[in-house]
Amino acid sequence: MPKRILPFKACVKCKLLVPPNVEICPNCGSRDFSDDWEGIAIIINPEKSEIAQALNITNPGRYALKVR
Amino acid sequence: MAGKVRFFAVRTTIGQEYNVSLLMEERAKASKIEVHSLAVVSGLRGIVIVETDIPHVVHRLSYGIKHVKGVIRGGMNIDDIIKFIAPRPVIEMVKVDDLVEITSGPFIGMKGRVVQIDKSRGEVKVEIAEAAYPLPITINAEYIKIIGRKEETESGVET
Repeated sequence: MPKRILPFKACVKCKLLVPPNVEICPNCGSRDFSDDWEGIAIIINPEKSEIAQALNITNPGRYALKVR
Repeated sequence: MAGKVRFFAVRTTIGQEYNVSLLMEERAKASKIEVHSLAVVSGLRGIVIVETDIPHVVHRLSYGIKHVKGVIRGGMNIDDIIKFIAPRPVIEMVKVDDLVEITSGPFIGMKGRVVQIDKSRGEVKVEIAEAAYPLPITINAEYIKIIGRKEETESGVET
């Protein structure tokens, strides 16, 4: 996998990617974040997206596929 | 609905998948292109997966973006990519005596043999093969890669 230099951290609970200065996850309200994540799923239309259904995502946004 | 071909692959420069996917997201929102989702998965280098019902919008989405090398002909359905999107956890697949490679931490790149599995904590105990004496270490199952099963390790250990 390529070396990642994107300015995001991932919520450990819901895997949403947020900018590093955010303290509370806007999706689930969690405060647990991780910088060690891999893969990205950008959900634009969660109702029609099969990826969103497979990952149980209901809100649009950028999600990591794997968070450590 | 399941099994319908609606996933298309855009080829990019290796290492630029994330940047390309973010640029395509901006374009999809700005131009209101009917794209349901975009995905970059770790198993496919230099590929961005686009999910849409209309195949020709993939060209409109990716045209002119830096680092895009083109659209791969043909499409995929959800069964083809589900193993990349939601892979089974390693802890469920690993078995005692499997040959594994450590992918992170101070022992990165070393090979070893699984001697014990703790499924509740998600950890495995690995005995490093390169060490001169038995050196069991406990690591998270996320940080190992299975490279051989028990039968294969007996025959193909001389590498």
